[in-house]
Amino acid sequence: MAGSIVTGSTTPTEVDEPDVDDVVDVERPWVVIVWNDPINLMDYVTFVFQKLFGYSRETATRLMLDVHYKGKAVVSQGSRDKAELDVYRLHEHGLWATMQQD
Amino acid sequence: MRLRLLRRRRDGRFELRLPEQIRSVLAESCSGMAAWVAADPDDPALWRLFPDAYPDDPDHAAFYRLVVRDQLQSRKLADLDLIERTAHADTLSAEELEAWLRGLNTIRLALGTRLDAGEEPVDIDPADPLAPMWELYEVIGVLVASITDVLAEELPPEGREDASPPEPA
Repeated sequence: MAGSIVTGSTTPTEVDEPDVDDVVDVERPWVVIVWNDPINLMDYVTFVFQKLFGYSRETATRLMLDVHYKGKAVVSQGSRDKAELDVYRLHEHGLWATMQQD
Repeated sequence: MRLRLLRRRRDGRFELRLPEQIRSVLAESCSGMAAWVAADPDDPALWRLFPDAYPDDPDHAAFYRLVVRDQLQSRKLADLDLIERTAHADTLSAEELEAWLRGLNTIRLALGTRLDAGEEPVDIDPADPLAPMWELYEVIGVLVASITDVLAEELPPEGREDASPPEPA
């Protein structure tokens, strides 16, 4: 990308440059985080991860244990729309979920 | 402790083995919880049911709440309503049992927040004015655990092929 600036000061490529950066920024993935709480049962949390995301029991258990012992875990990632939908579905099931850009 | 409160029948329905007294308590709790959720979803005591999606971004958090809060509230009310309507049923479909699981967990979250429950089991003091609430919290906990057990059996342990779990930290 830096090459286009060097090779031609009047080419459209140079004008387009900031747009490319914007797109890259927008495309930065969002992550969905589930936080530990003292009320939800461990098996229930594992079940919700399996049910909502189709994870194996092993993966869902690992994520649940991260939530429990580390206080939080990234449970999914993707576009902003996907992350919002995942947060909504987790809230529907009573899990404490938030999202942020990675 | 795992009482056999539930049994999956061959036709895919779930047989519910609960004493009448508990069924009545559950129906009553759902009705009370629904009235609470319907009246004031912004009650800080219900924050666990309606958490912020964007904790560090008040503008986005407010927008998310505006867009989905009503829908989330309707879903929770529908779950509670379904439990109330089927509280005395002999059998439930898998979908109904899932609604029971979500609805009972909703009540448990509200009770646990009110009781400031921790992770350790509590010795209930009968003289405590909150003892009946603690007992309900415990009963619902046993139910949530039992329903989770039988519904987890329905899921493939290897997961779905299209699932894309995050990388281990």
